[in-house]
Amino acid sequence: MGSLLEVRDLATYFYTDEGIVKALDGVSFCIDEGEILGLVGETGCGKSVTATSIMGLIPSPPGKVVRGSILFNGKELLSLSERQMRHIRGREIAMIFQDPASSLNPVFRVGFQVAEAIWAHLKTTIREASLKAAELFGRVNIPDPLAAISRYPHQLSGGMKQRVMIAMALSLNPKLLIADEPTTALDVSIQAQILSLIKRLQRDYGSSVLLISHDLGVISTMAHRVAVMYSGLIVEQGIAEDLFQNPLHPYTQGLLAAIPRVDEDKSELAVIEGTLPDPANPPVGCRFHPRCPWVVEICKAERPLLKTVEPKHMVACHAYAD
Amino acid sequence: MTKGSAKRPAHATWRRLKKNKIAIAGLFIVALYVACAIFAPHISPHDPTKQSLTNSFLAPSSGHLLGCDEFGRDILSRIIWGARISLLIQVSSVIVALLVGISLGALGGYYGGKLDELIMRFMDILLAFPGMLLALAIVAMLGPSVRNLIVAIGIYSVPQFARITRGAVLAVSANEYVLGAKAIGESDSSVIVRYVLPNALSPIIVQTTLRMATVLLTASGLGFLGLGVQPPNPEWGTMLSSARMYLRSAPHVAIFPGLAIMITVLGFNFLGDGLQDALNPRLKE
Amino acid sequence: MVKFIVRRLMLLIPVLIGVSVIAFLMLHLAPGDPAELLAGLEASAEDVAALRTRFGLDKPLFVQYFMFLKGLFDGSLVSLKYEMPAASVIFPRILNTLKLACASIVVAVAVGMIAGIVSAVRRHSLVDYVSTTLALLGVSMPVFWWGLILIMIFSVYLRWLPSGGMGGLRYLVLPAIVLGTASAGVIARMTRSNMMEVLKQDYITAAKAKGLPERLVIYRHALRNALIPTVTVVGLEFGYMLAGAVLTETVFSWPGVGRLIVDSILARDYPMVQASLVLVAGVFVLVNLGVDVLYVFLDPRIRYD
Repeated sequence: MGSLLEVRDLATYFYTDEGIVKALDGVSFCIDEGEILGLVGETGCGKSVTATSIMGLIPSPPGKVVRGSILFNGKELLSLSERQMRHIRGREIAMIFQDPASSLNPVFRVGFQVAEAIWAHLKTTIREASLKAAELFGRVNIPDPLAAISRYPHQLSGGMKQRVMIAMALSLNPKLLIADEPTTALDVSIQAQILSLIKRLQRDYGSSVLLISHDLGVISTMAHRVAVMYSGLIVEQGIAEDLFQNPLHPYTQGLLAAIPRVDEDKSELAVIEGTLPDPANPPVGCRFHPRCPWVVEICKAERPLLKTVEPKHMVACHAYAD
Repeated sequence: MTKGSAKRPAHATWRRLKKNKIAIAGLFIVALYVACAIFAPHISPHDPTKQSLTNSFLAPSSGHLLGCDEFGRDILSRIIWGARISLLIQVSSVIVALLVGISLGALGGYYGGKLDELIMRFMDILLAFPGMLLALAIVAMLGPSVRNLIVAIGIYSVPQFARITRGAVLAVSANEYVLGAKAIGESDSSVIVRYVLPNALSPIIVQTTLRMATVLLTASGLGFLGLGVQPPNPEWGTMLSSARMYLRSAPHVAIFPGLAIMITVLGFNFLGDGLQDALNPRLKE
Repeated sequence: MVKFIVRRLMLLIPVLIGVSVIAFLMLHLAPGDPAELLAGLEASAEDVAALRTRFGLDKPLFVQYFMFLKGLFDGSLVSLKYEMPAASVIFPRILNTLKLACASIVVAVAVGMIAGIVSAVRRHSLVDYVSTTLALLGVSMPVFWWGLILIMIFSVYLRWLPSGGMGGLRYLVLPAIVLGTASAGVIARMTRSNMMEVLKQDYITAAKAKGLPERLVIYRHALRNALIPTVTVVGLEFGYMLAGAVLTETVFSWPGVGRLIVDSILARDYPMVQASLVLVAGVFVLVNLGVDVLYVFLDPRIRYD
């Protein structure tokens, strides 16, 4: 198909004292070149685990990728050695983390931390790398870049720190950028700035972005395509406009209905009944069935697979089995 | 904070402690030590002070499992009776330290202000003497005897307990139920005893256990220097000071008392670490 | 930064004064008449009276205290045993203890830090269990017994190393190992737990996500952070060694200040004991100040505020 990233049936389990936590149990999606895929779902559904699984950073006890395939540019990432994976990290796939305050090392200057990635992969001198870092700071709209590179993380505001992380991620011109909740820890006023920065840079660099968020508003402004995740599985996938205009999966419908709207005259907020299933003990069959308004017998027995129901719009639900 | 609700956390703590094998080993060692101390007259095979020229430097043998020292006294008996002396010193000095330390810490933390400053300054002065030096100085002043040893080691242990109590008191005093109790008009002493101190309980328990280890090391250290329990009393450190001269000819005289100290200290450390983990279940990795 | 140091020094002064008061009061809190204590058991009544006037023991306490302080610094506080100004006897001994403490801290840091780092990086491995156990053993071992055991093995049976005294490097080996052992245990435990804390942090995952090799992540990113609290412990241990190596010095007959204090106590040389206590506590307090300054220096979050 020629996509940049193709994830198929990815399953990551964590072996804990309380049992096996099936954080991901068969996740499939793909990202094309130059597009932004929004991965949306509630906290705890496995979005971040997806990101760390792709990066190969699952902590090895207690976690393990038990099956599936991750094809990046035709290469099977799960079969690469640690050494080979290291060449890809930062250089071809880069990641921005949720909380910039805790993702930057507090004892090193920010310029150094950005330069380090460049120096590690390109074998330049630290000096050259630092200059490149300053240039990148300018591109992400950090004021007075030459002064900024000698600052320590705690001297910068949240928005500035996130810009540093973005600069660090884009420093080597990666083909895929994974942004894990990039604005969740920031003030609302800053969020819009960061998002538009990411959008602009994505266009300028031509990279693909896996944008992970629980915030439908963020996803709707940024993503070309959207994948909805629930309890370790993808339940719906499609082009953003299609998905938001015409949500097929009952979970997606519930999510969209729960958004309070100014133009509607409702006295109560619509909620999805029930809570997220325990990942150590998920329901048999379709994981959503305990909360689903359309549940029938087959839902309790068999897990539905992702099927294309409309052009470029896939859903995993027995209601569309015909 | 009623007694009823306090019971369930105690059960949970005991369960966690049981799972920790090292802590149980420590508990076992400590229990053995206390048993030796309490039942010394009954389990000691010989009289620890009875000298016998013929048995001088006897190597470990069937009649004397750990051999005899330079005066022919049975080492095993002396070690068992030594446990009694050591335990006495430990318990007494820790009680002194607890009483003084907790009072000072609670008063300082609760009332704050100048009183707190004064108390903390005084603690800083005590802590300005590194390691054993404070205990050494006090023994130097008062003269070596068991009573003075208890005073010296007790005083030298006060700052730790004061600090911990003060910290716990400060943490709890800000809590709303304390402010509420004060607002209703409960007396200060009642508030301290009923609400504040129970929260300081777990760090104090841990510190007490670990302190027993330090006290034993200090007391035997002073005994080794000749400034602790005086001979012929069978204190383990004192036993080692005379053994020094006979390393070549009779090493067993030096090995066993020191081994006793080490194993007992290990026991308290194991138990203390285990209590620390059991009372504060942080997410371990 | 300078303001910080000055402020801390100001706080130290009341503490040092308190220490000197306690040392001064030693003579007066001891049971018995101070003049008789100083004169010793064989002294006659005239000797005692002479001593009383000579040491100003008939003057009010306040005055005596200032005489004590003055005597400490201008050399008029004289040791009974050596009949020299106390300070001049103490200073060379402090230097000897310094030598021992430096050697011991090198041993302690080398062994302790490496054990701690390896333990943290390879958690639950054999190495981890062994070094954690050894660290606990090191902390639980009575110093004087450990010294005797090593003397037994290396001096008496193997005859490789001397059993006491000061001289060349050979004399330093056993005492440094003995004194360093307990500190090595403390440092190992601290390093291990600090490293474990740090390795859990997000910025470590972020560093790996940049594609940095594992060794770089551990030794540059993790260690630099774990080092901050560990260094304070190292400094504290050094302080303890400087001032409290009493037992090690006794076992190995090392002519340091710890042994001087013990010998002086046994010889009832009160002025020497008083002077040593004040000076040793003073050194300890200064080392602690140095440790605090070092901590501020190492953590950019505090330095640049």
